[in-house]
Amino acid sequence: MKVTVHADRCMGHAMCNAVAPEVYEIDDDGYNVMGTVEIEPDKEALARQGAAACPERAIEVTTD
Amino acid sequence: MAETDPREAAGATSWAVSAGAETEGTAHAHCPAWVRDLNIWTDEGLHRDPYPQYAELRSYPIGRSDRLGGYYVISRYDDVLAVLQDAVNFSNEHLFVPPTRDPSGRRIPIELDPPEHGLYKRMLAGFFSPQWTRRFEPTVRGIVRDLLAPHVGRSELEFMSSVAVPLPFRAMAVAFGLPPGDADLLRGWDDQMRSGTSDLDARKRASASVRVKLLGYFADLTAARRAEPIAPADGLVGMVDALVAARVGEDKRELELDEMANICVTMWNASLHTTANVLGNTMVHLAARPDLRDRLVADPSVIREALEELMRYESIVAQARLVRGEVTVGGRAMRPGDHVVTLTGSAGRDAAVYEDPDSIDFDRPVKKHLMFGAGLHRCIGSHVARMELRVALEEIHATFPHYRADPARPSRRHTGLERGTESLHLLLGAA
Repeated sequence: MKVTVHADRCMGHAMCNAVAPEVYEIDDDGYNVMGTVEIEPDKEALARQGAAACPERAIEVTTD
Repeated sequence: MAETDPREAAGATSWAVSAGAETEGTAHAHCPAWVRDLNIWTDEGLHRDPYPQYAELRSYPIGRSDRLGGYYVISRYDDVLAVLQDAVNFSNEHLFVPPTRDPSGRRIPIELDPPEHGLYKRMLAGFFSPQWTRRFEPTVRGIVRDLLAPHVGRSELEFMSSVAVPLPFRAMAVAFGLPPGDADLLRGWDDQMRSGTSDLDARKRASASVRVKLLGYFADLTAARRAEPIAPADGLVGMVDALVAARVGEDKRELELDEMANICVTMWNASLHTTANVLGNTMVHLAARPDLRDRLVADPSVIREALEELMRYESIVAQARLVRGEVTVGGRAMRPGDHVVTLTGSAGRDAAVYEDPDSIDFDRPVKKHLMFGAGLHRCIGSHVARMELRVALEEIHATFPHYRADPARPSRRHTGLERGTESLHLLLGAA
């Protein structure tokens, strides 16, 4: 599973990091600039929760 | 394969406004007279309980009112999000219907559009960042404790005037770096603006005159700080001093005094009653549900999620936008010059996004909401506001574990630019 954080849609709400800090890193101003990353199997549920917490729908979850 | 949340029928990858516009006339064939005659700021039904009307509005799905100069009502989560994320087709020049002009001209940054907006937003986002917010938390906790302490051992408390309203005034006075005591002065002006009359035009005039006074106050203060900078208290640089020190744009210029005053007044007004109302609303619902209260008393780690759920349950902000382009929302074609009003409170109850949206459930998997807006103009103070609200709830539940609503004096609520609470009488002793 991969998550893609669309930087153009990230507005710095920082909710992905609040819900799933082990998956989503934010910069000092609250923006997520991690791009696309592979998610380890034991963190998939967390990654989905963090994506669902984004009010902008800036985080896309994809599976192979 | 792209996945979507099963509750989101529209799909997580559908960011664009939906296609398939209906032609003029057919879109509102089923829109009843009450919508065409709806004054979104003063409607009595909305004041009492907006959610049944919001549910009906979502079914149209884009209602149109002929009042207030004419406007579309945007009520579904997808449509509110689409409008808020599209700063090109939906301008912030007019955040109110009918359009009003602020004494400052255009309020910075909220009434600016890109690219002008970006210059200020970047600077201010850095100031109210998550990192700055963490350093500010102990100050806020101290303020909350000071506000609660005089009521320990008492049997009752009017929550709005004793806690919910004074908290953001005191916290923001520190955040801005105001001289000690000035919070009370500015609170007095604010009371002037809000009390005395229910006549909307009279209130608008009072509000404009207070804004002129505030612009003068902050112009004087920024000029004084530019002439004589002060050492920050507790290592926290106040916003006024941060603005004086700021260098913006490609030419790294200083901010003009009128720019700084404008920013200060905009940020000051945006940070007070919003926070007070969310705290009040949250306590209205918790005070009516001892089971929810007891859970937060027993396990304060739930407070963060509880707060998100209660902000979803009552997302308080309604803002207008001015349509700039030919654009379609919820199947409705709009033209330049049209106005829309976005209802985040309705978006938070949208069954296309949330299961059983009218119930409060701290454990629901999707608690995201649009209370802080979305897109370029999302609330710049959201990190500070969330922290203030969480710290307040932590301290309240630690100090008054038995609080409940006084059945003899029901809370007074309202809906308008914000859904809020005017009074909330709590009983503090064990039942």
